[in-house]
Amino acid sequence: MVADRDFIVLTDQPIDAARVNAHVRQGCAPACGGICVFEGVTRGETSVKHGALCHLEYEAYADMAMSQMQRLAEQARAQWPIGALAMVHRTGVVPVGETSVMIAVASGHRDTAFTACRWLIDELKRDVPIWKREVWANGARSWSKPQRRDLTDQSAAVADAD
Amino acid sequence: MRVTLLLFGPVREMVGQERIALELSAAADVSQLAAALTTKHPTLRAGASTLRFAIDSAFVDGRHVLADGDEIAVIPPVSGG
Repeated sequence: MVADRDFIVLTDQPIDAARVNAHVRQGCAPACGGICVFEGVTRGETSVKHGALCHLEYEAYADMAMSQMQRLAEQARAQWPIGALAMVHRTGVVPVGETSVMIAVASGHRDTAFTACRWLIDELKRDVPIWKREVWANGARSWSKPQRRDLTDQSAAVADAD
Repeated sequence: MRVTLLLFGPVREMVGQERIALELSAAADVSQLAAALTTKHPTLRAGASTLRFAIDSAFVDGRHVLADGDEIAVIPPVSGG
């Protein structure tokens, strides 16, 4: 099963980057010559209206988020010769500077590792049911609006009409 | 027939509930479900066309025909990562 071979996790704990790296290194040694790792990190922001960003709060539809991540892993493996793959997303409070998502792809050569890693994070941001809320210094809380490039075609058409 | 909707993120907050039941005519499809949802909860109307729906953790399109007892997740635009 792909699900066993790949390291796909939804967790409310800080992401253990060393463990993710170990999975992809051990998963395909010695055949892999390139490992590409992407980490999405809570960015410190300041709003004129609300002051500093305190943290992000992530909420997931857990069952579907897991099955969508597994589906993306299978689709990536069908497109590229991937040696090892990891996708980890955190839920709950993620403070500024901490990692909310980590994707690692190991492959024979760097081109595949870069391309597959990029594809996986882009697809995750479109189709994996996870939502984040911004929590600000003045107590304001607001659901984060997806960037236009991350929307489905249907949603993007609506955004254009706004 | 009666179906259950699971609500998440901003939609859950706007409706104020995690699950709601809806009565639909027999053999209604997902687009009819979407119409019934926004009729019952007009606060969802503005973003109605951005909503997606899922059954058993897979997205379904508007023509997907529903059955009595179905549990359908309402998926507003996602913002993970």
